[in-house]
Amino acid sequence: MHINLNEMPVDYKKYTFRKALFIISSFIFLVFVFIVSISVGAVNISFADVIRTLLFQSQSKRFDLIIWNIRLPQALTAVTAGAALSISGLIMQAILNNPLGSPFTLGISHAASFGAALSVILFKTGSIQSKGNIQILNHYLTTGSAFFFCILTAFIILIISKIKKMSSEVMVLAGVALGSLFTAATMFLQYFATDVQLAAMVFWTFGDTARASWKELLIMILVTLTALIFFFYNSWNYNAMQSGDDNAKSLGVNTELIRIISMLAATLVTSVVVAFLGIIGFIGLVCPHMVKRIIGDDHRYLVFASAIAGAVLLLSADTLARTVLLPHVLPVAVITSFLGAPVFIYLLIKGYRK
Amino acid sequence: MMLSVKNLSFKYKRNKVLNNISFEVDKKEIVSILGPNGAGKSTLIKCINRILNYKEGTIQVDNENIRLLSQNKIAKNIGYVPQRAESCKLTVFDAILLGRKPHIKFKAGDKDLKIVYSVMKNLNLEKLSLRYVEELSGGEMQKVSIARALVQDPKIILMDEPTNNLDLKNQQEILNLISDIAIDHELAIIISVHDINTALRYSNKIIFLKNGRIYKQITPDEVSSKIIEDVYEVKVNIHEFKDYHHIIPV
Repeated sequence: MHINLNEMPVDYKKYTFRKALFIISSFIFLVFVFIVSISVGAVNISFADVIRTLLFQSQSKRFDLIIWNIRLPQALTAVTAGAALSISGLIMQAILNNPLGSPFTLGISHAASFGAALSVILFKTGSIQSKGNIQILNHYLTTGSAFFFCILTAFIILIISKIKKMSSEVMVLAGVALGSLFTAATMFLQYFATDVQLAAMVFWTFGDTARASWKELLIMILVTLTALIFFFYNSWNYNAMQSGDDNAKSLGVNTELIRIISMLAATLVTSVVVAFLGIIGFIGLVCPHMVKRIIGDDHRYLVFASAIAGAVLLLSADTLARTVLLPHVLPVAVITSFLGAPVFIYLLIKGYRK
Repeated sequence: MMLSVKNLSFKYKRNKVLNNISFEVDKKEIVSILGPNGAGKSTLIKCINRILNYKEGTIQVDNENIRLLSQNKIAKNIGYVPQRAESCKLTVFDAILLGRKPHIKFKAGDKDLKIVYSVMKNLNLEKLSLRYVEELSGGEMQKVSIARALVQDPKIILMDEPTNNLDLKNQQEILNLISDIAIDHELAIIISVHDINTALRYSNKIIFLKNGRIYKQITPDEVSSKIIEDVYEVKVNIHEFKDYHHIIPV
């Protein structure tokens, strides 16, 4: 047996080219959905006007106002949050080697709910407007508290699994346990809350992309992009970890270190989104599974493909939420949860293994 | 010497699983590690490439102390074939390409792809190239694991019961393959096995482990029914057939 370095695997080259093509075409599709999303709503704007306005060729003051102040930030928020939740779900599934890894199954979203509820009770950040609408006063106190509890949860999971030698089952089980603990604690707070406080807590948990300002959007974009690059850089490591820890170690992967840093990065991305927008379910769990069905478990492609799929899904859901019951605008979380559950069950029935 | 293990001891919590193990393996040599369940075979294999972090003793690969090497440097020197390859939705080509990981900084180059392709052809795996690993049979998966270890371009390959879940034909194919690559690639190969007859037929040296200690290090010709009875506590007869010893339990 000898190694012959003259022959190139042509079929494999074609195969990787097809994967790259899939990512490029999904990105073009995302751009299309993005323009559709900006054009529809209470006031319909033609595609041409949307594109011209986005290229700084003002069509009318009214369109400028609608696009630059309302629809563009909301669409960008949906794209960023969708990508962020999807990649953090993907990475949690990879490092835990468990198909159920996601911000929800690890209790991180529940921790955020509890953090927000606690700030409503302690700092009286919930209030009722004259029209009867519920609003959160002192936005940053609530988001800060939600963020704090997300990170705290990630640390507790990491400490528990460190004691038990970083096994992925322990991390998932610790997450499930912490999730129910935070749910119980939130229920406890809700029981003693006034009507307004209770309404504010519930209002906060409805994830809504309209909540973020340009400044918050910028923070989300920065964190998500950094995480995306970090995850892509480590894609070989995640691939190696698919074949078990022993195998990954024998290929030179420091599995414990990768698991800790990736877990923290994924939690950071999730908690920034959840803290600013509230809870948006199922994107983190469903999107990576949908993409894996199409292009397999190769993280060199999965990281970008999942990010785009998450962005497309959340942006579509957001557009639907804004337009389906006009003049009422639903929070996007209602749509994602409605769509996510049947899609996930469908994927399970189709026999998805991982 | 390609591999030298000196006074290696390893504890799981307070349990001493390996006790004062010393042996050497040269290139082109196949060394089998035998012993009853729980004797420490898998632990020993996993200490050699530091999947398990040992505290006592020294292990040298080509005169370099592996405790002073990074995990990546160890991976360049030592390949590993696990007891059971975990199935995943990577293509066979990508799964084998992972073996180039210690040599790749970020992106796999043309050279890496050519090495993988060449090894696949040698192992008759090229038809499976774009199939997912999860669709393969046990024998094919084991060949993929061996191919991955080979493209690592190591000096030593460790195998943890590589023929455990295979039928007779696949067992033979894999074992012949192992014999060939030891010679062709000038590798030192260390295998933990259960089947004594396999070890007698395919290896240059046999190490019997009992309760975490080396009970005997012998060549296949030196095997005796007393050694087997002492290690496994089973009475056996030894027959000679076509130049090989065969162990048959009484």
